Amino acid sequence: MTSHARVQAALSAVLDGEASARVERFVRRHLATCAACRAVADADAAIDARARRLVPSGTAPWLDDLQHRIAQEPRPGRARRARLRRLVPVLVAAVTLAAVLAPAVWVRMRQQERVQPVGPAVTTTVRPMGSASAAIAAARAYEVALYDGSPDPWMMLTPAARADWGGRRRFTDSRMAADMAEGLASRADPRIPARAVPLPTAPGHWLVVFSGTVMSEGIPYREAFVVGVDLTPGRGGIMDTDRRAAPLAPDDDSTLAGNRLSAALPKDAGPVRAWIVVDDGPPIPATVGGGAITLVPDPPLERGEHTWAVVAAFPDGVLTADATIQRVP
Amino acid sequence: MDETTEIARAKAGDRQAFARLVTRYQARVRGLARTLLGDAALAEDVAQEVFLAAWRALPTYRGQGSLASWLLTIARRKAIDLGRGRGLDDPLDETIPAAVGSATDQLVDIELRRALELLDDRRREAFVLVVVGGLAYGEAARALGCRSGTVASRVARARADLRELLKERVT
Repeated sequence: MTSHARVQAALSAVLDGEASARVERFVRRHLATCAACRAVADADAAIDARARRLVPSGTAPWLDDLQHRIAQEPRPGRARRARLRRLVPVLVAAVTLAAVLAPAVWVRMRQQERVQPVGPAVTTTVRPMGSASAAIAAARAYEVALYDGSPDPWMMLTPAARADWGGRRRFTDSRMAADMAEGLASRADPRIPARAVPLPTAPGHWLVVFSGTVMSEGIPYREAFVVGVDLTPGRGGIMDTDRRAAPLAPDDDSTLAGNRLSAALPKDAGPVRAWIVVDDGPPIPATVGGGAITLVPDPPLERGEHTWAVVAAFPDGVLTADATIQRVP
Repeated sequence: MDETTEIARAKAGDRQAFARLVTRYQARVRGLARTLLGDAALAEDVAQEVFLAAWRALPTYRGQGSLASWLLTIARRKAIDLGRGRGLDDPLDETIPAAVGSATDQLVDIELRRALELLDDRRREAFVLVVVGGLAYGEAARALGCRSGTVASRVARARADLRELLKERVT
């Protein structure tokens, strides 16, 4: 990838304060000497500034009305508890009905299990999911450590890498702190098992940190954080995996057409090695070429919902993983 | 008083504490609703409904994500629900928010809102949540139900689209 393309690809994250210190420094250095990229950066910054102007200034005209309406409302929680109390008889009826209907539903489901092979062209629905399957697949493919619970990433950095991050934690920003706090709070949740695993010490190994279930607003999400760590003496450090996950974003670039699983790749990605994992099976080496990672499963996928994950190893040592669920009708 | 205390008080039924939170976040919620809907009056209705819904749902807010993220998630859902009836051919409301600049600035703002309307819905939502709403990629990802890498990709593409659409206007 040329410097211009790399800079312009990273620019958006830099403007949003989401790029790593290393990437930000690289972009800013380039902008200092490149008028073309600086024009793009200036245009983006101007658009952002204009967009922020669309936020109305002054006080909302409905504040008094809202206060009046809230004054009529019960205190938070009371209305909810009242609604729940009203729901109890409905729930009892629903459970009773479900118990009565369960045998018939089970028989019907068993009948539907006899699935047909996929047709030549199918429409798909895509919804993103946490890349737990992909992380596990990556761990298998690379024979790396699989963590249940996240070690402190800062402690895994080498002194050189810490210096590269400005010698301080990046998590002082309030938004990052909120994210970290959420993660830490979720690990304190008794419903989420945590298991400490010692760090691997052999040089040149990848590490996949798998966080398990994360709670967000009371809803458990299965999530995995894939962190590549190169422990080679002298050049170890955390690899920037998340940034490279973008080209594999499932709902933008991944498709399931016919019996062909495909994830888009940047044209200049270089010699990428890739695996595709279907339904938590073993990682199967995928074909890389024509700007895509492709796999034609054999035997063909059957009708129903399939989870598939792409694991790609880029030539600069970046490991990325992404997963999606797609339905074969 | 810090925000955590304000939230705890509001959850306990302190309407004044909640009013202070409303004051703090009303501009962002109104801005998000307005940018997503392109209709000032409808956006104000949505914003008020967001805070009423937030008051009712406060017990479910566990403080794991930021309050801004929670409110903007509600705002996005409400904007989608209430904006569904608005036809694509409805004229864009060209009322400029208070504190406007020069006539040229106003024109550029109208151009920007027109350009935002032309964006792919998913890219527009990601751009608005991050740039207008000020959410981090992770927070926007939770609001949109996708990965933060996807948010990054959508915001970058939205910027590229806007740059192209506003080529002559924004320099």
